[in-house]
Amino acid sequence: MAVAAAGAGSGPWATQEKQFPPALLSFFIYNPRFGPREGEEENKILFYHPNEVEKNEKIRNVGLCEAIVQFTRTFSPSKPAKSLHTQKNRQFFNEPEEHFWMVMVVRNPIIEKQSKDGKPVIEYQEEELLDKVYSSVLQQCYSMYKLFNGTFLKAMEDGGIELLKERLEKFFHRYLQTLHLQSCDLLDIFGGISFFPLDKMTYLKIQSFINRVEESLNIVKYTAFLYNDQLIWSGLEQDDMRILYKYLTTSLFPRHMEPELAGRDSPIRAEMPGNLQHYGRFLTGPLNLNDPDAKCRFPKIFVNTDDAYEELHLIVYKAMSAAVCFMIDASIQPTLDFCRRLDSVVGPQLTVLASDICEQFNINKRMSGSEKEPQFKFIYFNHMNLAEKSTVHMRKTPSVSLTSVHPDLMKILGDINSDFTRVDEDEEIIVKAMSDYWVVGKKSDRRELYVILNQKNANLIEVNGRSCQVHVAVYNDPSEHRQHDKAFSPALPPKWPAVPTARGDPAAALLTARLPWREGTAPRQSCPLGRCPTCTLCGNSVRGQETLCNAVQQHLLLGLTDSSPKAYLKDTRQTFGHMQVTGHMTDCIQDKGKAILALKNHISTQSPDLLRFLDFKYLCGIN
Amino acid sequence: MGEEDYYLELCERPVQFEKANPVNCVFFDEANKQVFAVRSGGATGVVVKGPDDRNPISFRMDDKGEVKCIKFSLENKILAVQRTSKTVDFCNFIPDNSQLEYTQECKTKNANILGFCWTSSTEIVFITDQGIEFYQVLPEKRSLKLLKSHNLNVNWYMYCPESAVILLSTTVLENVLQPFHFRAGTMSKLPKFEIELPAAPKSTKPSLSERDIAMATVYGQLYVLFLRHHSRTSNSTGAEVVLYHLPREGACKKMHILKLNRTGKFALNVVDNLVVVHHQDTETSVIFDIKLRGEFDGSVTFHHPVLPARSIQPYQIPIAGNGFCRGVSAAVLPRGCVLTMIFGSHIKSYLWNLQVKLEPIVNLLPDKGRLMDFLLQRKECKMVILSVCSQMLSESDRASLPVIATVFDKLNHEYKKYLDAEQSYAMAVEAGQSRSSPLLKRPVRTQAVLDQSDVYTHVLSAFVEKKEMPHKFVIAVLMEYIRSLNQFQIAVQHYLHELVIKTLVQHNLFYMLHQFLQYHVLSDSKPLACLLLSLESFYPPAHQLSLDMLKRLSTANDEIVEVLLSKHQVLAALRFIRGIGGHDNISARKFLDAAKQTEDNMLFYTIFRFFEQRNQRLRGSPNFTPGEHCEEHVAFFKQIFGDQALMRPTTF
Repeated sequence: MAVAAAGAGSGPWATQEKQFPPALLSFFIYNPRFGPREGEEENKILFYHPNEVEKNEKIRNVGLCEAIVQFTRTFSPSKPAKSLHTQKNRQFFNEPEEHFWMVMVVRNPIIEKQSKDGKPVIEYQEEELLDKVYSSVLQQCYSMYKLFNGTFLKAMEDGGIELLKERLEKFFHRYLQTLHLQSCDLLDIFGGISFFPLDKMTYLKIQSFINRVEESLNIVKYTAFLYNDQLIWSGLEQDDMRILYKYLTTSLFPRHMEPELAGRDSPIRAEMPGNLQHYGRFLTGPLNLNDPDAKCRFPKIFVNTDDAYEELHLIVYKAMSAAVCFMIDASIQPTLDFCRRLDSVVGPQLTVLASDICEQFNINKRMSGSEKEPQFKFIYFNHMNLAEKSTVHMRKTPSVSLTSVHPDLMKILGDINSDFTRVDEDEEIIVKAMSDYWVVGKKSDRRELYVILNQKNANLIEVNGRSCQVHVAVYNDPSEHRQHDKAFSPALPPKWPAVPTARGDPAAALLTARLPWREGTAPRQSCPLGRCPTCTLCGNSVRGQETLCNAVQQHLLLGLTDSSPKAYLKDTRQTFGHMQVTGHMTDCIQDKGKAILALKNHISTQSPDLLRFLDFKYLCGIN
Repeated sequence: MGEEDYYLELCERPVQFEKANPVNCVFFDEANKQVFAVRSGGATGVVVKGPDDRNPISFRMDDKGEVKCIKFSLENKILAVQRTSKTVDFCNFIPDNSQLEYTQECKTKNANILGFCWTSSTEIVFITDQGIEFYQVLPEKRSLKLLKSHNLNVNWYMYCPESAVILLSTTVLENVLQPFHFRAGTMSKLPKFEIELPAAPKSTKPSLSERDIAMATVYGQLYVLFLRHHSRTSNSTGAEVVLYHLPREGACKKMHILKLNRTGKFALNVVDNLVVVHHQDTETSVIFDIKLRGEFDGSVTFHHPVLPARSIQPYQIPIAGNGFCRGVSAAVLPRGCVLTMIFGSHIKSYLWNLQVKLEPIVNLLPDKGRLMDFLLQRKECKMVILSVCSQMLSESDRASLPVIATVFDKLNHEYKKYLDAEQSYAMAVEAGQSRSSPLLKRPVRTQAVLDQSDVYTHVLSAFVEKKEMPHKFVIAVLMEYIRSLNQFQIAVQHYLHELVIKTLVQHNLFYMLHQFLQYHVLSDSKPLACLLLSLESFYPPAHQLSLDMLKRLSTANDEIVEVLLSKHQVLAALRFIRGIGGHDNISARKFLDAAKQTEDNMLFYTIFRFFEQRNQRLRGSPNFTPGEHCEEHVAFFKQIFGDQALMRPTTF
């Protein structure tokens, strides 16, 4: 599949081709328990999109999904099927609450070609969609529903099926329109949170501010603080914050253009309540505090649904680029008086704080120097704190997330991620993509880093060294400096330059990061292991190919020994799963199909679970 | 008025002496704080009592006439007695020196001696109505040598022993004051200055009364305190005390005005850098602190009493057989640094030191910021401040966070000042300036310096234990303290961080903890990393946080290896140690042991081969040396993979 990706991306599409992105075909929610008997199947369906579909077809589709899930359950009772691949579309199944199933059907992307006789030929691209991406999207649908409506079960308790149906209809009718399936990618899998880099003192000031506000407005239960759409503090638990963050950054914030940015005489500015002391304003709730009839209605959200099951009002208040979410218990109805008090307490402080942060941010930026457009792009994600950073994605807009790289590269990133998911151990994958692009994926101690490099005629050593440098740069980026994950994980692959001087000294960090990257890698003269006379695969001397061999030995996973079968196996998987290696190695594989088979046997006796990593059929064309 | 309301009290052990009467004359020497009781001109005995010494000095001297003034030199070496207006008699109290009296007549003709002051153990100043004369006493020769003199008309004089400054009142209105400073045989004339007298009715001649002037050292600076009475013509609300700053060099300047807001008779005291003003009519006192913020009008700062007026705490004197007798103030209130109150009782009189009680003030001053400013300037403030901190964090008297923040900031401001002084001292010592510059002194740590361990031990550790406290408040307070320390750039001790972690963990607030660590609010340290490691079973990400922290410390590489090995992450450990270039020195046995424990043969193979290669590279042979104690592992390797799997030495 990687070969397909690399091949397809080798140039702009021919003019006669027409491309249709993936699209949502249908989306439905059902509970098999609600219509167990024949003739009552319709009762199972709680929500169906598009609603216009004829009733029998709805029932048929739901029945099919039910059957597939049931069928696969016999093979894997705990993990029934997650997705179904067909030529035209792909179905994703999710059971967020017991017996409640959500199904999303996505049409595969289509290429419409003109055949020689002028007739359009439709070609479904079956392998284009990544299961993980769209499964994540489906899960997100549920999380978002739950955030604003609570669990399905709660609705059932409150008002039975009718209420549940009503809520689902109300929510998904609008929400589904905001799904932009064509631009879903790796970031949807992560569902990460971008943290704002900040120095300790300013951070403590924010802490102090939050504590004081929570004290003086004592009905506030939780607070979250964001700057520039990036999170600084969350009083909510991680999972709740994750989905709230998604809502804020992709829906609420983009809808509210900054009136500060608008011109003085613009209509937006005129609408703002005339407050000269500060820039604070409500993003949810009353627009104009001076209007005695202003409505103080805030969206309700549901958090900690697993245990405490809390229902809260969500008050979002913003001054310049700083936004604060105050969450108060839903049993207390915030009054206009309360809003005015909040405005007078928070507004001035937040305005000052926002300009403090801005100033501090600019200082940090200046310290890091005027960064030129870097030669690489990266995506970073830490599973532990959901910290996410991407230089691949442009600013998020409500409609699409724009990426600055070719979709095929994004697809490779997704592929690498899928590979990472299969194993718990740390690993590293290097992929040669089209037109001098290299993609490097590293996974280490629950962190993932993906780097996209573009370098003419680069070889493995160079790419490896280069990505090490990127790693150094990412981890020591001064803007990132005092933020999360500054450290190297000790479990990172070897030969990554140590940066003892980088600690606490941004200048030193930069220096390290900007060293000519070749210095960080193994020199060409000798093998890092002291000897490298033979190929690990065929045993033949590869003196003419030291470079490649070194590189393979050096970077591929263990790098500690050249002859551990396990290590070797991973090497091959990585090498051939994604990389088109030219020269000796490829020859080895193709000529020595027997060697592979022997190896396969060897491994199946040693550690059978490793076998699933190897797609032998694809690898060598042998079966 | 409850007992806890009195903020001024008398000292525990007063100096007790016989009441003055025609046969018994009593004198008080401010310089040595001694009370002299002279019976019958000394013939029947002189008893000298000081506040500190328990053994009174008693001696006899011949009755040569009425004693006008009697004072010991510093260290009680020489006794000076004035009996006539022209002469002063001396008597040595130094062992081996003659005890015969000798006499010195003032040099200026027709002058009358107004008094004398000892400026050291052997130097004395005569103040006459025509000037001053500075003498050195030569006890072994039983004579005096005139060092210096100065002529001017003197109405009255005043002496401040701590700063060795004599103030002379000159001119008809008596309001031009001429200060002189004495040090080690030298006398220097300071610029004179004029005290502005309040406008008085034409009928009476205005003049500056000696009773309205006092000199005192406040916060290390010498001030002349002038009690300006309320004048009927002006529309001021009451009397006030004007403080003129008298610097070592330069002119005297009017600096502070203390508003008394009442009229009548007053007496002044300075205790612990506070100006205490006693009001006779109401028998109450008020205190002023010139360091507290007042209203500044561009040249002078106006101050109001820090606290409402209160009496001095009544002192009960036990009298044998009679139970207790409440003393009544005899209203003798000399100016100066010590309050002398002589209580008339049946037979005795008492001299007391006045003290400020800090505990009652805590409740009298509701503004915590001002209270801190006040307390931090007091000598015996430490425990009181700590109790204030504990109190503001208590359930019943809980202060708001901004107030708590202010208090912490004030504490840390003082703490930082001390740390800076300490640091610059250490740097100066290092630079070798200590010998060349005698001015370099090790900074004194006053009680106002409350460091992190003080606050931790006396305030915070007890505070976090309180079950009834909402955890939100506990964390907010801890963060506020850490913020304050950071704001003053004071390195936060790890036990404070541990307190934060402990509290967060107790309430399962792991995500908050994670965020704090993410922003490095909790600074890296080995103890903290170990604590995190121990939390892994409750919160798995703590493992990553801990390892990251150890890595950042860059001094904890051994720990990292141990942690990884204990988690059976043998490869990761090896990679790490190789990454920092330490793989040539590690113990092969340790890694092989760990690899064997994983029961993963492939892993063992890998590790084994790595060390074989290391041996090859370092020693030219893949074999292990006996010193590495790896025989067991070699045997194990052979058993699993066979002899032929061992690496053969390569020969080139």
